[in-house]
Amino acid sequence: MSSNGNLLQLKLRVWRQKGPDDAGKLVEYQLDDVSPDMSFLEMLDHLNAKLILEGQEPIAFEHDCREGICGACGAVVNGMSHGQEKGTTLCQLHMRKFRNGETITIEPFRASAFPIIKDLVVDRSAFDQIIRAGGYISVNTGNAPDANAIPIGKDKADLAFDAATCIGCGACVAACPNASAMLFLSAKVSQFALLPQGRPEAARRVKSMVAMHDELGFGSCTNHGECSTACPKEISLANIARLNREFAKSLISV
Amino acid sequence: MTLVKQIFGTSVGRKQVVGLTSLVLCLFIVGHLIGNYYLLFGEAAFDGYAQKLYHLGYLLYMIEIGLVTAFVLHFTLAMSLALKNMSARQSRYAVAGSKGGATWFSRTMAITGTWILIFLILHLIHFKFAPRDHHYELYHIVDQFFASKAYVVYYVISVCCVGFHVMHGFQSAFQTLGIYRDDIKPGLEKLSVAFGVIVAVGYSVLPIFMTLTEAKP
Repeated sequence: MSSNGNLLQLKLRVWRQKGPDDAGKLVEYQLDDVSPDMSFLEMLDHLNAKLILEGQEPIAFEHDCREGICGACGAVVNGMSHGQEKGTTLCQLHMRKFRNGETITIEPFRASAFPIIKDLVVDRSAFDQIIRAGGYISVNTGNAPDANAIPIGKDKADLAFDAATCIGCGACVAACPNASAMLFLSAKVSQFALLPQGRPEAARRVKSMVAMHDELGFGSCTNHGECSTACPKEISLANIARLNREFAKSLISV
Repeated sequence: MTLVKQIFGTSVGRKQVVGLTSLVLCLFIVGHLIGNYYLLFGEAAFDGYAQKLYHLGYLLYMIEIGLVTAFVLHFTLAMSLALKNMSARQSRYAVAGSKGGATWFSRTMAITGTWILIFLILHLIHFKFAPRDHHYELYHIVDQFFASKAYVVYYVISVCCVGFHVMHGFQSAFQTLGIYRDDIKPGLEKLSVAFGVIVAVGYSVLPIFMTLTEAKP
């Protein structure tokens, strides 16, 4: 297959599903004018523009900031969450990372707790339910407290910040062989457990968030480590160990 | 939620029981392996060792009850988690990909675990509950068992399964019990692989050695 200047010729196999109850299937599209400078989502925009001109239904996919910070985008590209690049969201993946003539298979995140709404769009509201179960701290209303009233060591602050960089995209669930949300859950538990403000509710938080995680139909963690390598924010497995410690501690707390 | 429900009713609680029991079973695997090496010192040494174990009396029964409890908890809880994990993704990906993390050993834990269960039951039938005149004349039973080449092959495959299982399981237990940091990860992984190799090779050497020495006139 020859290239047209610097443009890439690609064969795309995209998961098309009309709605939640449709069986869905992979549909092939040929794109012969993909600029290597396009982001992956721009390439999908380009394909959709052609589909609309041809009177076909465009491919539904989620996106928002397109800057890698919102967590809205995400698909499984050639079997990998957000594509093959590590520490990268799908919107920040560029077409220069693909070879001319390559076949690219694009599927939605697959998990029973993330039902497919349409094409590449999945319902990730299960994450919201986990957060509602305890992913917050209770504070009294009134004046904002003094920012420096509670000193926090830089080591703890850094770890808490690293955990808080989780954007809740769901790539960890999509990559996990068990469709477990334990990396997401552990990041949300850790960002509070590491800070003094999060300690008073730590035991109640971890118990109720774990219970909600299980109730929603996510699998359990068997320590494969696929989640962390797929995570665009490179959340560490050490957070899952911290969640496990917090859970064990919660069992003996009154 | 009661403590029992917290432990056995949640995925993390069940995992932690699986992790704790796995460390107990790892200790047993090491103890059993050391005991097996009495085989190298001949019939008298090995049967003498078996006799000493037998004369532990009630202590031996308590250890056996503890091991059976640990094994039953380990297997049933691990399988209940494995079944839940299977239902957590009902549609499969058309293309299987990975950015790293999972290994062949981590992906086959349920398969190697089930093989180990079958192996363990047969192992008890072949050795512990084999008909004999005295409780400690084990050497003869072991010697007769490994006279069959097919049994040697079956035994080596089985102990390799145990080795593969602990290659992932040992490090996984530490992670599950919260004993894990990014800086100790490489060391823990190497230790776990080394432990698995020692188990697989350590247990395989004995029947192979017995077969080779027996083949000589």
